[in-house]
Amino acid sequence: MATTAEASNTTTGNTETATGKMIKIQSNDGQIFEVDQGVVEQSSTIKTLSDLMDVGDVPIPLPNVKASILGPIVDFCNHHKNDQKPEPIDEDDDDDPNKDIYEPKRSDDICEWDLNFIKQFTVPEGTLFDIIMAANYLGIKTLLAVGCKTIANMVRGKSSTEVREMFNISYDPPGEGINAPNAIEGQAGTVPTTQDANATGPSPQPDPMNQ
Amino acid sequence: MNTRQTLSIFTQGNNSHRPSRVSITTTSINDEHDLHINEVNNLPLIDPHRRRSSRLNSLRFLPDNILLAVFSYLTPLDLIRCTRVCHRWHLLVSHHSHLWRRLFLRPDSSNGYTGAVHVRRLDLFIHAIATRFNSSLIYIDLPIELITIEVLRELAIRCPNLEYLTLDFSSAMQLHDFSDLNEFPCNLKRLCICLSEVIFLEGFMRRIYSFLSSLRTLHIIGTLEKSSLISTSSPEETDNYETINISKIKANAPNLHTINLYGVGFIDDNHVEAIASGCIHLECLALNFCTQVTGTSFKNLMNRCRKLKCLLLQNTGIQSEPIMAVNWSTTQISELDLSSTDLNEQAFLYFFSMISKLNYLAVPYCDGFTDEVLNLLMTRGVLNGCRALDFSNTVNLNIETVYRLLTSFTNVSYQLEALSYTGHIGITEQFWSDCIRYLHRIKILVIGTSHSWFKQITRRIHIDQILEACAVNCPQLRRLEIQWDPETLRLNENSSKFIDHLRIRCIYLSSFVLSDGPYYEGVKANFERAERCGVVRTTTMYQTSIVSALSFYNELKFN
Repeated sequence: MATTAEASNTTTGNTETATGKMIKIQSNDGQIFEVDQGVVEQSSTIKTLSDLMDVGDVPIPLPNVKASILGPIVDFCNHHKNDQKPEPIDEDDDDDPNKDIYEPKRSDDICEWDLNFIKQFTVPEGTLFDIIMAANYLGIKTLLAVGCKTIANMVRGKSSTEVREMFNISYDPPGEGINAPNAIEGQAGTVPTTQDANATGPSPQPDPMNQ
Repeated sequence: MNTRQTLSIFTQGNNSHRPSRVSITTTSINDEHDLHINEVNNLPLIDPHRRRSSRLNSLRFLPDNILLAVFSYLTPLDLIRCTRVCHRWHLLVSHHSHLWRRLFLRPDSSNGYTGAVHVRRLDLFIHAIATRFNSSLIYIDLPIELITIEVLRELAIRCPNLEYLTLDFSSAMQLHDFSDLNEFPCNLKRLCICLSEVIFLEGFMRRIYSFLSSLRTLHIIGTLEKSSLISTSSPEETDNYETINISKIKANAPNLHTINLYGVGFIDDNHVEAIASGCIHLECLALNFCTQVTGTSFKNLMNRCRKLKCLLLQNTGIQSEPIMAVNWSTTQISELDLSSTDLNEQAFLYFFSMISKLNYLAVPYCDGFTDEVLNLLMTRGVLNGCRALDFSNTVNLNIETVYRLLTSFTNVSYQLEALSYTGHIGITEQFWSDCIRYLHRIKILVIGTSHSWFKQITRRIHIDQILEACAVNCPQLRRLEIQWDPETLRLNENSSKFIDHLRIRCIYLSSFVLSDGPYYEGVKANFERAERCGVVRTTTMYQTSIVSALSFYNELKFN
């Protein structure tokens, strides 16, 4: 009796490990991470690579991602691997007839865990863009969306100067006359209350502030 | 403004500045960008210079497709600011017209989240219609100063995909001369016209009737605030000019599925008869705040518009007798709003004895909605599978009957997605913690009663029990409103634990409305600590309603 019970136990144990096969991935600085199928499923790149080459025990090299970035990303995928469904992210869903025509895509719907996750990278010396680039490279749509929403939330409501300061973008004068940004923007001079006719049109000012 | 010159400069700009990507034609951006993703990724990542500057300031290394994904979350107002950040952003934003699908130009566009754009120079705006928005634009609303022959012509020519158009005449003092108007967008699915009290629109409408044949949804927004509500008592004293000709619109738009006449003072049963005679495809008719409608036209309406499913009659003047003259059993009505109407109990009993199934029922402030009416609904199973119920402020409906509905009729309570039941002083926390156990699918819940001179609440309410019931039973909850005043709520030092629990368990909760006071402050602080800002609001600013559970909600929104 006892032996049969043990035998059946071991077989179920075996099938479990077969479906939950661990795969090794290697960052460009040589660190190896072991991930299970739930993580692999979320990254189209790792999935394709692991399908292409029957990897066995050889780690999949990911030459574009370093360990300090890959580590958190693996954490992210581990946290999300039991999510109900991979939500249909983006893909230009504007053709959906049920979509609310009045509102653009929401960016304030990042869940609490993701917010805390991404927060560690948005500090001034943070590596948010590395995370986003890596998510893009690895084809992790959920993380890419979280990253893009985070940037969108940072940009929202800020003046162009503030955006430039935040991201340290140098202002390159985009040309004179009609090619100056505010020439076209004048059509929609953003401040609803101001009726200042002088504030529109091509302006020699490098930064035609709208606030 | 020289259009040709602009275009040529733009082309130059593209080619010289960013030859590979930005110069891609706007229509096929997505495909092309997907093809580019890998190349784009690899280049900067391998670049050792980049690794050194892998900080927040390295945004410039993001490829275009990611920047565009970021921009896709922004509103026109923010996009315009983005064009001023740097040359690359300017090019990206200007040349990817799919970012510009919707344009909100009315200052009182209530869509605070979106923010309206103010047009200061008409020539530049007309130029931008052609160069920036063109075939991407599907939604635009025009304030009175932009309803001109040029703008409409440009929209008609440049924007073939424009389907949603709002024309706001509400602040008009006089109508322009539109006798030269010969072009008008002709693929519109939805037209919304905001009326002015005094301007007769026939001079304009006459020019556009022939372009309306594709319309599926028509909104006519009246001047409710000023005349209609007062005129309920004395309709003769206020002038309700018939500023727009409903019959002619109906005659030229045979495919209308949804008609929403909101607070239009002059609408009466003759107009409803006219609609009935022409719109056989009509599925949804909303006459909210059209106070002169009494219901005498409904017999014809139900006979002709056999597809009518949704009838919204909030604050209309419907009477019991005309309602009892209609044979409702042959209709397909399944969504019904009778808020604040004077129907008596007999009319309700007659009505609900003939209707077989309701998915949406709103009867707040209906004195005729009694225990007997609800019992009839329960025994006939009319509410089985119902999505949304609003029984608020029904003085002749006892809480025991509602309790029985919610706890004993699981065919109803298990399916319910929206419930509003406020304004009853006898309700205790026990009532709700018992009922909420059955509301597994609830998304919108409005409960509680604010203290007022005629509703003296003596009992205090243990708020924690209610929050806990929601946290445990309602994983889908999106909107929660609790109207009890701070004086009525009873809490203790453990209340914050229950707030935590609700916050963690109800992950979709996007609006939590409370009466202003210490408890509101505590909940707000709790949610903000967890970075869920904007969720907790006060009843002074926000009101939760079940209307979003209507199946025609998207069609019915007009602002």
